[in-house]
Amino acid sequence: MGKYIFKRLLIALPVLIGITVIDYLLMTAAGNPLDMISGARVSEAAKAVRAEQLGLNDPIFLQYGRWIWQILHGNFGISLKTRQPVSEMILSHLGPTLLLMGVSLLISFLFTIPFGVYSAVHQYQAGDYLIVGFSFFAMSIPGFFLSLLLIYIFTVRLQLLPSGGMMTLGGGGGFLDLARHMVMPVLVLSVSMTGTNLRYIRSAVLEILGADYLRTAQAKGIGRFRVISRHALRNALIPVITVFGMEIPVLFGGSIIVEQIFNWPGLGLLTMSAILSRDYPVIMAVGLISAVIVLIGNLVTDLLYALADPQVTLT
Amino acid sequence: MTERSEEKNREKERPLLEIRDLTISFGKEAREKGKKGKKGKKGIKRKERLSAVSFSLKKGEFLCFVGESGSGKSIMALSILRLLPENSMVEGQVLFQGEELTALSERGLDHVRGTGIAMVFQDPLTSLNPVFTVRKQLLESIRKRWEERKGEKRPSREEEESLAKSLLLRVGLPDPEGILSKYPFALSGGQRQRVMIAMALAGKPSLLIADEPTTALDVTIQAQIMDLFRKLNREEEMSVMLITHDIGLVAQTADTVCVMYAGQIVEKAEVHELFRKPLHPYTRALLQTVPGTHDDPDRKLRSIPGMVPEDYGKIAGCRFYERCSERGNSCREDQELCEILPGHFCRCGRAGYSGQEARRETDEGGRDHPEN
Repeated sequence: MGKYIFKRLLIALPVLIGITVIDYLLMTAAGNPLDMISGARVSEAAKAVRAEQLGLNDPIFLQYGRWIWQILHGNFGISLKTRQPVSEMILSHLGPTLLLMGVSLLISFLFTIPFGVYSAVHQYQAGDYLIVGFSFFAMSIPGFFLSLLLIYIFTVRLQLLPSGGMMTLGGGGGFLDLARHMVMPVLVLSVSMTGTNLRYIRSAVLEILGADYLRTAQAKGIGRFRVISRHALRNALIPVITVFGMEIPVLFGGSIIVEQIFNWPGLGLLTMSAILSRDYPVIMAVGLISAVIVLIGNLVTDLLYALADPQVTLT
Repeated sequence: MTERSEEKNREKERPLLEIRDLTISFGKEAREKGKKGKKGKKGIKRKERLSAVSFSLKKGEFLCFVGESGSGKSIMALSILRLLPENSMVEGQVLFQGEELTALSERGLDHVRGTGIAMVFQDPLTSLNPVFTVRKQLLESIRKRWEERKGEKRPSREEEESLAKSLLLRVGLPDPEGILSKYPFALSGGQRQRVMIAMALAGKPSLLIADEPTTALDVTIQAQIMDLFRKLNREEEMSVMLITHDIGLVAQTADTVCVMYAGQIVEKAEVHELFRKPLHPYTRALLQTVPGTHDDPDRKLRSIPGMVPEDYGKIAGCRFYERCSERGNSCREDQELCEILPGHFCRCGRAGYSGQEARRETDEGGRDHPEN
């Protein structure tokens, strides 16, 4: 297992290097960094001196090397807008995003698995139609629209939930306050995930229900409940892991919009404001961090596969 | 077992399994099965796959069903333990040890499954759960037996383990320790089927139904598995109902043979009788498709022209008519299963006549039934 993880990390290395190259080239193509750093009133001569100082006249691979070197030392540069170190900004925003993603993922799976299985077991019955109908609805409704709808209902009309932020300003904070702020963003994120996941799980379980080994289990006379809960569910775990692996990058993308709407102080919000203010060091860092997280997610997925499916051996 | 005079059976012993007028159809309307699915009668798109099949199986008997693919054999076998998909509709009676299985609830039937009747399926790879070890799947069957007998003391983990090992030895797997901790995909086809049989034996069933158990296996393994079935039948007095499309396999193992065609039993006889005097044209045609090791060099293997008809439930008259080489005008009428010779039933109106011919034929050169 340890050997496999090490091997996978080695394989991930070239991918990661590729990502940094793309990341760097894209940002280089975006324009002259000096124009971004300094205002319009700085003279050309001063700019030339500054360019020499910063090494902007060096060949591009040298500049890239320097950038990587700094990143390896944990230095992602200084934000053009806030003049804060980017690494600090990322660190403070990563936590809320991971919290939001983790909780949404968890809730989505807690909901998806039992209902997906129920839907498959009761195929073409009222409950199944209800669940499939819901999943169709959940898939179709855009996240931003659902967010606005929720804000209208729970904040404007019922005045139950705060419309944004992570903590009440000046409030005591605490778990309950956090939970109240999380309800709506988590709901939006998990509804969109649940929609697709329900379909995946349903069709996976349907396929398993038709499998010969379930007929064998049924012929053993161990009862319908054990046939489903023991034999079918254990096999359904494999497609569930696939869905889980696919969900991580989707979540990252989806959280940008949701964080924006609910003013959630996560990476998505950071990215969005960085893009709007052309804060390139921040955009570069966020791009890199997202890629790393997706890579880790894939590794975790593969490890889970090995646990769930005995035919997969880690070598 | 009391002798009941009301049961006007020539056999004094009550049959272990008795099937009366079993009719199975598939289709959309069948899904909403009311009581025994009587509602589906008005269904339009239903296809009948088994038409009023009746037979009985005595304790200790080895009964074989033979027929081409699509003749309804497997469906019949699956219907006994109600393992058919939901869109099926089963009518008729299935009596096991005098108990009407079709009237039982799913829960009630679970008491028969595994411990009363056990099944072995066609494809041993897909029939074993891929994510569980052999140990887990076998122990599950073993435990089921103790769940049924509430009063008895449950065996310890070690006893269960040794029981599992002895089962694997019994079905001819020499290294039970190694097999137990393996996953199905790591076993060969023959090993898998033996594991399946061990699982079926774990419940100590009085009847073992084997649905084409050797179809997915190599010929050499086929013979071994058939030997195993015969051994279990002879030495342990377990009744066996074997379904196969290979009439050659039947010759040495079965006591009684039912030949099935298009959802009907077309001929039923004791095995030697059937091979000596096949009465139904279909049976004779089947026998001619089998190569033997002692064949005359000039003997030609003959195939049966055509296919099993699609929607055979709707055919009026003899269902083999289209493919029969001996058909006549009387074949246009529905054929009944009649006892032509003592204990020898045949669904062919011309059987009395063609039976004579058959006898002559077999006396001349048709005796070379396969020995593999």
